[in-house]
Amino acid sequence: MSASGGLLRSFWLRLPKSVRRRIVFLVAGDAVLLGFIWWKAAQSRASFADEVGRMAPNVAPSILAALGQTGIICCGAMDLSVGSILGVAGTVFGVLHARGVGPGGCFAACFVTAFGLSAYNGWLIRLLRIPAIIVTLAGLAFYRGLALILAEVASHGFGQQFTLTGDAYHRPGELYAGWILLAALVLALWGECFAKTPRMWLALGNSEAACRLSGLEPARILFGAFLVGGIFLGLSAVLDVTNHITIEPARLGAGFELSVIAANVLGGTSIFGGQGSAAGTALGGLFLYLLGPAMLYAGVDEYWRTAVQGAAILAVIGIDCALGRRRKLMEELR
Amino acid sequence: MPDPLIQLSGLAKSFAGVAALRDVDLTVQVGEILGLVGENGAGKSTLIKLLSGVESPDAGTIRLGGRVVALTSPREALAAGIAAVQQELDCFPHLAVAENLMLGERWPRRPWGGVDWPALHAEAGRRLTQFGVAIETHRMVEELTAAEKQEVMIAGAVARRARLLILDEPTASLSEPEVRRLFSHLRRLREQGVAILYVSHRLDEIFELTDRIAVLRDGALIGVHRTGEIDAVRLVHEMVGRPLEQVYPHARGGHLGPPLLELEGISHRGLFHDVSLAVRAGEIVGLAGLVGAGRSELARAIYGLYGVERGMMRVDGKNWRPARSRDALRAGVVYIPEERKRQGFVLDHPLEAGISIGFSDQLTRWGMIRGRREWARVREAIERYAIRATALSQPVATLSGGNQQKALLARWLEREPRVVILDEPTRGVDVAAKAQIHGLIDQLAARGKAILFISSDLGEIVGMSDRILVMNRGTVETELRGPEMTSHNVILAASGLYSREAARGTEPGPELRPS
Amino acid sequence: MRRFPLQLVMLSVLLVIEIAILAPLAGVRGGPSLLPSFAAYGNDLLIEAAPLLLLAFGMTVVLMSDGIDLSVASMTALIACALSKFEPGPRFWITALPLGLALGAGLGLVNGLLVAACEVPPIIATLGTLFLYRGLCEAALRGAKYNPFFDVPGYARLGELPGTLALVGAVLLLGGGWFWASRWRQEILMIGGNRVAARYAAIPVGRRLIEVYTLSGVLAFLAAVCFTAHDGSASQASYLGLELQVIVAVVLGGTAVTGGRGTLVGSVLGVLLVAVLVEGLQAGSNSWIQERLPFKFGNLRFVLLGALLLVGVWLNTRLARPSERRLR
Repeated sequence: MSASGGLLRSFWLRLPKSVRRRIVFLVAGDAVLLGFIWWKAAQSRASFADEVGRMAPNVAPSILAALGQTGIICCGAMDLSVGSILGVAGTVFGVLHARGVGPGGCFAACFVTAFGLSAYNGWLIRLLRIPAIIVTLAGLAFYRGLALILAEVASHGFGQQFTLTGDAYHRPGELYAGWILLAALVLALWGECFAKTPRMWLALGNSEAACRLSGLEPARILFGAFLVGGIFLGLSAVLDVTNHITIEPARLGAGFELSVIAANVLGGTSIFGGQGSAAGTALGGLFLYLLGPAMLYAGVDEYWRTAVQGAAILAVIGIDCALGRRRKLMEELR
Repeated sequence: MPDPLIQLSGLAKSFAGVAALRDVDLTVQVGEILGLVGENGAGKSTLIKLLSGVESPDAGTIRLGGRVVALTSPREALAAGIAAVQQELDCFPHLAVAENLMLGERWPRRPWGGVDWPALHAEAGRRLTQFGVAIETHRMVEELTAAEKQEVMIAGAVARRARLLILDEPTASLSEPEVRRLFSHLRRLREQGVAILYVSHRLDEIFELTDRIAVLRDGALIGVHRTGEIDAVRLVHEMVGRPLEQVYPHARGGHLGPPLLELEGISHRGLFHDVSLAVRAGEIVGLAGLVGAGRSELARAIYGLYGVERGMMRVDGKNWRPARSRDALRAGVVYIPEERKRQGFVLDHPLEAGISIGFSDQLTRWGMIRGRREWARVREAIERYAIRATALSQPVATLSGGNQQKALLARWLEREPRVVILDEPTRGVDVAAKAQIHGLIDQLAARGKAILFISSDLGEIVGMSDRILVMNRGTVETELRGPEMTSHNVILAASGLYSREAARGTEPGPELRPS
Repeated sequence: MRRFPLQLVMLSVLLVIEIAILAPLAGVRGGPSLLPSFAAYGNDLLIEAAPLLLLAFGMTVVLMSDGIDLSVASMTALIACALSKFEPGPRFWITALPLGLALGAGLGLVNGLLVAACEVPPIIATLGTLFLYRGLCEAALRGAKYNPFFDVPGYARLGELPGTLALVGAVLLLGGGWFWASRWRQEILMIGGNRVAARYAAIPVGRRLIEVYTLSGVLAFLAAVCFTAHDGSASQASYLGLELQVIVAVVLGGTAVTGGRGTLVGSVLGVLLVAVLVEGLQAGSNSWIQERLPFKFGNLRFVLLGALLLVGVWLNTRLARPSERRLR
């Protein structure tokens, strides 16, 4: 027990102060939201256990994708095309399903697609030497079109959507989503605790010049972050697909990138790179998710919900960035 | 005599046609502290860049332990055992000390593949204690003080078996006890056989710490002396000696008007404190001091870029607290920044844009610039300031340093300001352009402007100023007037040694005085 | 800026080639009916391109300041939805339109405050407002009973060619002309080229950035007017993906994403290029090409736009100085 106590302590000490503060804030915030939902559920005699049970498959895709992004953002880059990648992966899934491929094959193909596209992003950034943000912004559009075209090419007479039939395609999601999420989270935290590569991502985000001087190659480090991000994205795609009865290539994953970035920023990951933690990201993703049912119970009009969520995300990002202003200005002028 | 550790033979380097180093032959022995002194522009930073692999020499060789080495990158220099400790650059603020020290190397692993953190921190701790530093390896580098960061970087260099340690102005942001600690580290390293190249303007430190002193002037090595065999006076002579033709223009009449810029006790925490000065119309006040003394920060505060926390400022007799630089312009105060490329221009923009941005707001009607007037003014400015360019649309990046500086001056002087603050106006500028700029400044004073002149070029500041204020550690410590204004006294004052020398009653040697 | 004429000539040539290839798909026939069919083609093209031209003006200025505005389509949609809540009739002109203008300026102001006051990177700030404004469309349309646009006297005229051209022409020629000659433009260019130097040049960086994004919002209002005058309705899903067309158009026109350089004429050409492409894809999906393809021809739009964005930025980066290249 003391070994794990020491482990926890060394992990905690490795986090910068601002990330630690953020994690504490999020633990409190999540507890408050959960408490609020529990209280409201008890009042309206809905089942809290039901809510929690439903939580895992619904929150898993976004938290998984956010975890994958943490490494990339720590490097100082960003992948804006995650939503569209999810769209392509879901389309692949739908296409194979329509052709009668078994669930194992469908899931595997979905995973590989998401992973492959993330890796492709990393490779393209390394090749073209254009900022990651622009490359992935182009990818946002490109992959969405790819999904649409793929859907139409691969299945004749395609309407707007694929309808998934067969329990075998859903049950794994409902049953295993929570476990997969837990396993992925443990994996991410383990990596943060014991692997050198995440520290190199942080180093890259801190100072590219210092990385070169230490003998590290920035482009290769960034590519590695995209690869690892791709693994998490693949898991996210698989779990996201199982949440849907119908898959619309045009809309699957649309808007995902913002909630992924928001979960990260909320969790203490700096947009400019150099600090961040999987623990914070997971807690941040949970917080964002809990806003949904909390708003529902608080009686927020359904028309306003998306707007409130968007406003909350912007407020967090805005305050986070505004806090670093004064120092940045002085640095800039020197 | 034992084999020298490093031998530089015939080392030469030029930038954009201007020779920064000329035929330098220098040796550094094992286990010695060699001081390197010289004015700004003498070639010290070029020498550091060549030794640390940032630049390659145009001519000459570097021999390490007898073998010729070609240091084409900083990594190669590090591998060869040459470590340069810079101020802010090579660290990762959000990572722990141990990680900063050992990022480029293999980390100790546990049998199942994970990083063995205790072993990593133990190894890092060992390197630090071996160096005599007791910093907790778990701390984030961003939380360390400047002195501690420096200690970590030096310890890192030592641990990587650096044989030559280059320190460039290491005490600029250190307090007195921290300087003491640094010196004891360096002395211990010397005993362990590490050679140290200590580059500094602070003569008091040079005399205290070094075994030998090398003097650079205008890119050439003037001499190398054993520290005990030379004194401050002679050293300053060697640093400063100037060919007799160097005369500074003095066309202004000497008639001074009322004070146009007055500062009383102004402070900004961490940058400068209790600064009081006054610059009269027609006067050139030189502001001297070492790196980190607070001169540019003071100038920026006057210009409105930094706030002033305490004290009062007056322009032309009226109380004045600028909230932003536009207020400064409106009051007739302009500031020509130190680094013209980074703080002055958009390098890809054409020359005409670079110049007209300074005064096009005076030429607008309903927000639109009167194009022909703008062109005419720009053309006039180019002629008046003798800017050599092939076309108005030439990108600023392709102009020579001197022409860029003149363009920057043209930009602001076209506004006919009342107070002009110049920050290193002739740094990196060729001789002809320097003379032109000096003439310009002299004429400005003759026309009744108040000029605050910041420079690290001693001959220039002594030659151009009517009075010199010397800043040290954030405040104006000394004022030099009349016959007191010599390069010698400026250097001493900047190191805080001036009053002591005066008290000792030493005669400053023969020196070039303003005519 | 001397390299611009060459680039503009190349763009014009590309445009002509593109029209030559894609116009036949849209029904332009040779021979005696060449002129009328081309006129009809041009008519439709310009009406489609008009809102894009307005948005591209704003986007050019934003890119010149080393920023980006991903929320232009959402702003346009939100304003259009807000406009659709007003009663039809002549009062529309004095009630709805001024409020729409204020709304546009307000939405742009939010972007500007996020970027200038909070120092949020523009791409993230406008990504956030992209979703926020889209979400607000739902709220805005709640209980909307009217689709007033075609019942407002004279409004639909703005949707036809003469009216549209007049509006766009006025904005581009007068506004663009003022912009090109202004000191404001010089300051924006300096902010985008070297922000530190802009501060030393006493340029009020924060204020200018707020003005830039507010301008983008005002132009979104004008674009909303163009759209609604032509379509007669607005919905939560209107103009999805439009921001991409605008960005690609401006980038192809030669404005750099890294700031400090920009050309309005290039953006106009870029918009025409993109509009012809999109029209061509649309027309193609109704023509013989579609029959030979297993997928909707129109869906190539996203793929092509994404690829064009990469190509455009890559070309602009290659043509720029090394000082402008960044890895991240």
